[in-house]
Amino acid sequence: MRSLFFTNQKKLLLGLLLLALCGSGLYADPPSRPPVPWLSYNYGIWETSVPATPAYLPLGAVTGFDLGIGPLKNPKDLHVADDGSIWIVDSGNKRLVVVDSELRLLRNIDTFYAQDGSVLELIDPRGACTDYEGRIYIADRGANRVLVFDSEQRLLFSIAKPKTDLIEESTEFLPENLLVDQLGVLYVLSFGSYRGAWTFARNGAFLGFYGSNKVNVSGRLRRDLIWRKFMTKAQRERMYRFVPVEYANFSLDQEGFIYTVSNFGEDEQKGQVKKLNPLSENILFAGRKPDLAFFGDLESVWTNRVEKSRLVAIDIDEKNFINVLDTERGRVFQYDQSCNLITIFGGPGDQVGAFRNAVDLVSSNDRIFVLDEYKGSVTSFEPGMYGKALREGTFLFEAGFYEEAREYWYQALGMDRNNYIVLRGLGRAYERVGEYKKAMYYYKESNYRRSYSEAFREHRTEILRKNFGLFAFFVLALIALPFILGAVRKRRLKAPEARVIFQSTLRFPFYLLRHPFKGWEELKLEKKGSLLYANIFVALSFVVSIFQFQFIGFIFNMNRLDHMNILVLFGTTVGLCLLWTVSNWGVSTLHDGKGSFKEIWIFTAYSLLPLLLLSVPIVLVSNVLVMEEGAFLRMLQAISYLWFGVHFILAIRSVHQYSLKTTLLSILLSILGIALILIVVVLFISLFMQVFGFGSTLFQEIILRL
Amino acid sequence: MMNFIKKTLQPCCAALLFALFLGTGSLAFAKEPAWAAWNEATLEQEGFKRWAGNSSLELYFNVERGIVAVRQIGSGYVWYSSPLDWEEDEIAQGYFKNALPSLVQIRSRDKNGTIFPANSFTNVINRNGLKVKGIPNGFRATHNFTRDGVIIPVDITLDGANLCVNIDLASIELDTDWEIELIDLTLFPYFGAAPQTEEGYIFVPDGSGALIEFNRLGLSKIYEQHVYGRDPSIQPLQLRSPTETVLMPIFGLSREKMGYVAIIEGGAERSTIYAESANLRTAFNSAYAGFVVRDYDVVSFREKTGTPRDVPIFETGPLKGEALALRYVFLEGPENSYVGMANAYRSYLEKNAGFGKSPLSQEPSLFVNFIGSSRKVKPVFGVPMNVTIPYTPFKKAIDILEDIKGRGVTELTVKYDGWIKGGVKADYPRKARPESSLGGKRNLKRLLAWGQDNEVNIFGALDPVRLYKKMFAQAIEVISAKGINKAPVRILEYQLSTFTIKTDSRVHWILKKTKVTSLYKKFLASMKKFPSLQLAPDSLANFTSSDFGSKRSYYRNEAREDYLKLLRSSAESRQLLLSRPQAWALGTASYVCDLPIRSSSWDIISTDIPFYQILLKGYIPYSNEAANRALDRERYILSLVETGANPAYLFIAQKHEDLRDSPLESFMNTLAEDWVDDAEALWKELLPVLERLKGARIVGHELVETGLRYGSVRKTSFSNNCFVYTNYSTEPAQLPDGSNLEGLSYRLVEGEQK
Repeated sequence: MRSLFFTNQKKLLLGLLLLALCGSGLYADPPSRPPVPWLSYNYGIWETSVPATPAYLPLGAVTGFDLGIGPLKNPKDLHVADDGSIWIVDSGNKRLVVVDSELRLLRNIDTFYAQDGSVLELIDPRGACTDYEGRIYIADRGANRVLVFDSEQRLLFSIAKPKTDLIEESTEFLPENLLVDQLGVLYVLSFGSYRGAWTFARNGAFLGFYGSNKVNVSGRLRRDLIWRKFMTKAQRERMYRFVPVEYANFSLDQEGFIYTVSNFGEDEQKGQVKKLNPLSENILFAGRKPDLAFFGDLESVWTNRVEKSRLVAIDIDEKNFINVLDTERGRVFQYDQSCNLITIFGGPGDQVGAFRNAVDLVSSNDRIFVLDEYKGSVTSFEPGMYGKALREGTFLFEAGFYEEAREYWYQALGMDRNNYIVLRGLGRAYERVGEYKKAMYYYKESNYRRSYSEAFREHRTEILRKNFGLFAFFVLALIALPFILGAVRKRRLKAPEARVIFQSTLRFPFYLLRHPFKGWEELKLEKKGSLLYANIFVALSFVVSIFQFQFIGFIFNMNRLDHMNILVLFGTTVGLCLLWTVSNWGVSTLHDGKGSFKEIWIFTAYSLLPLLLLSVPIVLVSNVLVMEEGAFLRMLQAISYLWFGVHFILAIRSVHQYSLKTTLLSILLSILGIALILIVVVLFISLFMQVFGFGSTLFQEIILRL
Repeated sequence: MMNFIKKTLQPCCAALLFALFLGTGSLAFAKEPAWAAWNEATLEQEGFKRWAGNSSLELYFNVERGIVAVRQIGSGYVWYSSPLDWEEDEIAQGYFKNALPSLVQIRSRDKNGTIFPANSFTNVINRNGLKVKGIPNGFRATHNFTRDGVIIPVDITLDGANLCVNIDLASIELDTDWEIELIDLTLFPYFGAAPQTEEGYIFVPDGSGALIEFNRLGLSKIYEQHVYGRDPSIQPLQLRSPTETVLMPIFGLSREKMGYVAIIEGGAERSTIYAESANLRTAFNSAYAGFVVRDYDVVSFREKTGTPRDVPIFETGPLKGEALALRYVFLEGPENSYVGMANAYRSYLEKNAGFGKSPLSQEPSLFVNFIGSSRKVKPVFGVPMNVTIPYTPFKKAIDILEDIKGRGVTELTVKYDGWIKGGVKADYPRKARPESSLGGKRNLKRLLAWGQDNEVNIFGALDPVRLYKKMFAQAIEVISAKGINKAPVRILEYQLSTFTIKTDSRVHWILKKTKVTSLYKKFLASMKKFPSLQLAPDSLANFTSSDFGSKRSYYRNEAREDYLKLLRSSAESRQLLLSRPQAWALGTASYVCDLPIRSSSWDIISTDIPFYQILLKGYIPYSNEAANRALDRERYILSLVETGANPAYLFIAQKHEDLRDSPLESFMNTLAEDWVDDAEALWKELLPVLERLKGARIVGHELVETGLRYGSVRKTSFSNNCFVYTNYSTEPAQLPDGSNLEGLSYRLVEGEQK
């Protein structure tokens, strides 16, 4: 009885968790639920999940009952034959079920024959595939064998663990997944085998291993490597070995390349999918760095464990899209050949199109079929209006037909203006036909800086060409300007000694710029510093930081404008100056510094001037440069920092009348001081928060009890 | 006890033997057990006492077995509250088996927090806890769950041709020593349950409506949906999957000979509809309702180890709320179908909820829904500000409407969301003050004048229930509804990928019903400035919530009563447009929009049906969800012609870039310029069909089994002798007249004799 109550309470909780409250007619959201039982999303330009129009729609699901052949019991594998029929490995019932793409039953293969014609009992079939001749290959993990049948289910031969020096005695042959390529070579994934696929010739002869993963250099591995250095040999032997991660599954594409998918566990997730060439090299194109391509959910959550994607199956469809299946939340992720995420569909649950334990997927004729082991069902998905346009556009884009793709991009754009794949595609299409302004707009929307830069370069050239006269005049004027100014100056400043003796407070900061060594000393001795100016400079640095945050040219501006936090900017400018002054004052009073608090503040503020002055040209120039010319911008930035650095050190030296060595020491100590102050502040805040938290919990508790 | 089993088994065995004699061919006979046709005398003889009767029904009760029988005098058919041969059920085990002959199932909780499930067969009948007393038109069966300390009087009465089951919450007695709380109860779980041998279906009002075929195999979960959705005052910790909402408090069962539709008359807001197909728990197909008596919320704690622990907390206070009431309406002959269920429910609404023919005859017309404006956080000169974005200024709306009109779409209905200051999901609509960035009062008047000149009804939408921005000078604690933890209910956003609450989530609250009432009245008064603007106060009709705060707390049904008054008073002076309203509000609606066209597609559901549309067609003009939000154009068109629904579009005119990262981010597919061509094409294609179906009611709807999904070919019969065939599958289908209907296409046939 007790256990019954317990389960019931659990059930209640589960029920509550599963409650969904969507669709209750959100005001103005045309409140209908999308026709799919999952919250459709995609990763937007900032790599966070954003709502997306669903590209695939669930068409329907069939169970074994619907097919009229009794339940599917723990089905493990799907295979699509050359004729488009779908083979389900019904492991629990030791049979193969063949359906067509409308999920109608074609064959129910439940008897197999040995060579002598007697009935052959399968023990634990986990995977199956067929080849061009109609041979049926079955991976029987229980029998430690791969069985090869002809199309009439008569055994041709079986493949057991090969006897060769290549394989250790202790290694077991536990075949789970199979593939036969166009040449008839059989690839077998064996459970627990980290050496890649076992390959066999058409007659069953062992050919060798193919394409194992490399040992993944994770944080844990690095740590353990260090530990090993301190271990005795005996200890080392007892420690686990660093072996590569085994493949979870694999698939063939149209051209005969093998794609593999692996689970790297909790440490590392990049490069889970590989496209292998005959030399076992990963040739997946992802910005030329195949091992950095990321698959699955970018976001994860920590409950009582880390909930992140666990990829268990892969499929390459006719248009060369890569589909991977995440069993954690029953999702299919579709990527193009450049590893750009196209769409995500599926989800957990008890609706058609949602899964309890999705284990495999295949594709046939644009449709994608997903096998659910728990439900014992196969669900078919079809691209909707949006999905079709999106896929067709991507397909043409990948093939280099940018203009042809435009029509599809436009269709897709109407249905989801947030998909950066679509926006990028349109950008490329416009770039191709020479409409650079439009191309720039779409590239900007899709956050593609490199392509934006290219379109911008063309656009810039166009403008230059059109207004060549004007620009030539400007350039000439720019060159001539220093000479003219110089001439005017020479005439005006006839008595050089006068300007050395008297510099007004107003002009002093600018005088400093040109005379850093003399100037700072003068500032100290003659007390030419103005508190008002200092405050204005600090305030200006705050304004300039806002200005820079927003108006640095798009190509060089990595800031998220909508995430601009004025308080943070205030803190990093005004706050930092204040903190510095406090810290430096504290340090210098202990260290024979001659500067007062006010002086440190003024000197620090004055030394900001180079940064302030150069920020204007930096912002201006960043708006006319393209990515390749970024070096120039970086140089400008470096100059401004260097200039500032020199002034800063000189300023601190003068204000405290230190030697250079003491100055540097004082700066270092002040930085430490800042860190100390921050730590204390954080400590206080957290203490306060805890007290506040305690109070509010107490209040809640009292209210609840009342 | 044994005596009774023998008594029932004897006729049963006899029937079986007789069936065997007749041979295997006459399966139909074997399906119909003898007790379904027992007459008065037999019933009396079997221990069923007659408690009430009228010209159409007789009510019996077998006190020793705790089974109710209702005999239809006309047909002689007898309904039982539990199948009499339940003991032969080989699928049901343990608790589920004992639930079969029960009238009531409960879950109670003692002071230690332990939850006890109990059913009336084990805990009442077998422990002699049942007392029966006559009341007018029926009897009161007082169930004493002796072990659980719960006494529940169940009133079972006849009302004309209907069977009514009532529980007055105030009369429930609970053991005070053990501080027993009744958590929830299920009424008549196997009333009229159909055995495995029968064919038929269960109807559930999930979304547009859905059918569950009898005897489905290979399922793991029964159907379970809250009526009107879960109480918004109880927010889930995770949002895993979106589902459609149950908008009508009804469910139905259609057996081979007879059917019923049950209407949850009282306590609908706290009820859950369950449906189970045979083979899941028992050998019977059944639908029933459960009621939450003590609502609960889940609080998640993180333990010191970091693992989260979820603890349920229950509401406190005296038991109150409206009486729980179920009404069974029996259907026979041609009415034994889901169209019959719709008819029965419609006449119920006509009698009780003011349902009637709408004064508007907007058929066919193109429904255009504009999103006026909304707020978004944007940096303005470097300072993040909550800026109002004018997505559709009034002038641009006129331009779009003129454009559509110029393309030959003569009939239009317009809904304008976010026209009030601040826009959608922003300021609370205290006054009818048009958003200035849309063009202000002057331009709104211009739009309204355009509407009057062109005979286009323009409905101004507002959300008087939710609070997106804190109101000046009023603390949230004072004006918002509270959850079970006594804190203001915060409606948060969920991370789409991980289902958890977003860390940087926007928050909104629910206003207390008293506050809604007073503010809405003021709003109505301020609407006098715009006499020709009609109203769309959507959330009054589709968003009711409880307030679990300690003082003056209320349940959803009380909110519903208040909101209904508000809707009625606004319907006096203006036409009302409601977006997928809950059924009780239909009486006030002149036009209904955003009707769902599908169900949640649970695994147990066999097929979706347009039940809501069948209910409304010919009475209230309506439109389905927006075409530019539908993902499958062909099937969307089919859904329109299947029931003669108006096509709809959701538009913004400009600033689509600003949708990104805004609260309206999911409306990235609404830019008008992307869709006007599509709207024109759709209208031109549909007009000839919709014109023919104008004003007609739906009198029949049939499903034909083909293809991947059951019911992919459908036939709708209209009252003006028009028939529409729709083929939802991709493959051609053969029609009764022998002709072929291509995949994803439809055909209108007139004057067919069938």
